[in-house]
Amino acid sequence: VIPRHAPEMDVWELDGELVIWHAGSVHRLGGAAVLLWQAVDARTPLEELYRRLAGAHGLSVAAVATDLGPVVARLVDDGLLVDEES
Amino acid sequence: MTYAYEALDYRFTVEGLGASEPAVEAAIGRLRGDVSPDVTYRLDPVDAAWELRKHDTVLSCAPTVDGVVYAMLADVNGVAATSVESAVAVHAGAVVRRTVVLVSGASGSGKTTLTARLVEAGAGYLTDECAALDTTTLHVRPYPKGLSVKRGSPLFPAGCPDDVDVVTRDIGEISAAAWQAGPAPVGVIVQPRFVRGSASDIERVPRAEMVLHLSQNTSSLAAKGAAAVGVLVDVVRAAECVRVTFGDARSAVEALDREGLLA
Repeated sequence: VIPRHAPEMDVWELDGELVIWHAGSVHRLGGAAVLLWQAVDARTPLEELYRRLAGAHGLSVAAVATDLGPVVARLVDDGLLVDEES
Repeated sequence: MTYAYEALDYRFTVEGLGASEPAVEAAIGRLRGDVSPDVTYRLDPVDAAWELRKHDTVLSCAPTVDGVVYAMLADVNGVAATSVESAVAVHAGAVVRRTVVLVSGASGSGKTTLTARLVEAGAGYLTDECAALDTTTLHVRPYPKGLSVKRGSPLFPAGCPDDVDVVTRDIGEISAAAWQAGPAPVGVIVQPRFVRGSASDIERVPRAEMVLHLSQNTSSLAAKGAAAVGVLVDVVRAAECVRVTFGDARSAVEALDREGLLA
């Protein structure tokens, strides 16, 4: 899976959190979701993103995957992230 | 009698004012305008009830004049909020101290009562229902309608007949010191949370969470899209954002004052 941001979004940063307008809805991202969002570049596979974030924060890849898996699922469900390969 | 009114950019007249005039005045007396409108409401006693018409369509029938005035005000609120130009309309009360204190919450959250108590404490009145955020200046435009007060609220007048569940009161009836404010920028955004018997408690709300909350209380968001969200973000960025839990609105005002949020 190579995640990329969905097209046609507006994003604002507020005190380290993100407000996103997409497809008629407002979304709020905070904490680890922001780190993931900022790491997504439409080129890097999800597993590699987990590895980079784990390295940057001194965590195991498994722990990061466990924490961020549901976040990714939610972002995909909300249409904010899409798979570059699909 | 017939008068013209302006609710933000929505202009209308009310015909047939006679016995209904005091209730209509309490609801929209501060919205009197002099522009020729093309929308007409009419309130008439019919048999033992009251009937509200908009043009020739019956909008509402109610046993009391308060009932049809409330229905008229609900219609006016809806049209005013969705038709306002060059502004984003948020479902919120608004008063002015040095800057605007925006009070945004769902029905039953204590929004109207807290707004009234802020006015009682010396703030200028802008609205209890619809805060129109100007897209250029980000100032809140006045919409000084009467306050819709439900039975059970401390603002509900004693001695009201049992079949009246909601009345509309002019802010001057609630506080003799009330004054009407002009457009002003937002300094504080309050999310009220009425909990019977609760002491007043103030907690900070992350700004992104407040944008989400305001967006859920903005009627024209779908139509105005990203530009409207941008206005909400800009307003929130410049404001203190708090949630106030309270059982007594006067005590909540004192707590806000102690926190320096009304300076």
